[in-house]
Amino acid sequence: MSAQTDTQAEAALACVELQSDDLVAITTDVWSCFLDEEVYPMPEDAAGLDAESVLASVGIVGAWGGHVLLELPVAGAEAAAKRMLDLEEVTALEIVDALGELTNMVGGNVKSLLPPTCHLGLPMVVQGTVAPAAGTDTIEICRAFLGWADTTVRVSVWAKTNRDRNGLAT
Amino acid sequence: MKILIVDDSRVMRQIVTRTLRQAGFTGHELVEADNGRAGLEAVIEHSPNLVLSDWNMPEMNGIDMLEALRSRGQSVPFCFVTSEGSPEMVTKAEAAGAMFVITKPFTPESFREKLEAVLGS
Repeated sequence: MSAQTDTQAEAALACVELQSDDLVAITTDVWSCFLDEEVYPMPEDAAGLDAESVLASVGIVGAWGGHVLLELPVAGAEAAAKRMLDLEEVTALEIVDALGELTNMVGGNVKSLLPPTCHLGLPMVVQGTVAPAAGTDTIEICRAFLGWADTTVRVSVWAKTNRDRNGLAT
Repeated sequence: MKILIVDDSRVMRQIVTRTLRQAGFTGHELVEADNGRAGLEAVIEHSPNLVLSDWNMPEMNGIDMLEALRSRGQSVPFCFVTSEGSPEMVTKAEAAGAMFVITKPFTPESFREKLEAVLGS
């Protein structure tokens, strides 16, 4: 078996093993360290993410290609930024910065479950509706919903569609 | 001591500052930079005793900053504070001259454990 095939096999295995529980564990770890309040898994039908949200994503390139997406309602994103900065009021820029960092940490820890030849990009943050915000060239392969401080956190992992279901180049 | 905190996120620089305080490292002078290039300039300008740097940043990333420092003969103790703590990245960081890597998310306890030898208790 060639070195390239070995890498692809490892990548496939890593992605197959990426489960909703992994996203819950990673997000819980990040939230408990920096937002200091209990976060808990919640069923998808109770999530209620219909309102305008803040969406933050970070790309992963290399042996696996895709990105990690974090979504919170606008009020929830503002609450997260206030908690991270320990402030009573935050600016739009501070919300973008805080959500970008949260996504960076979740993405970095997701990346640790992928092949070692992957690289993390810089986070991007936008405000909008939830719909297929991740773009047309990706498919969602894993997601989790968590509750925190009267709001919902949606975490999902998306793989490039010009690769196979495991994110491998076709 | 003087500590240089390098991170493109102002929120994260603030959290690092707060965590240093919570870990018991008080009374140190803190200097900030928002990317590796600004960090390089800050090392020259401020001569810090310790650099705590993010890895992924625009303009210049943390590993390029560290390599640039070492190529200029700068031996300031350097620690990565990054969301990417894979064994491969730790190996790469240490090969470039970093003392250690603190993985985000971190706690005051992890700061104390890693930094006590540099900053004292």
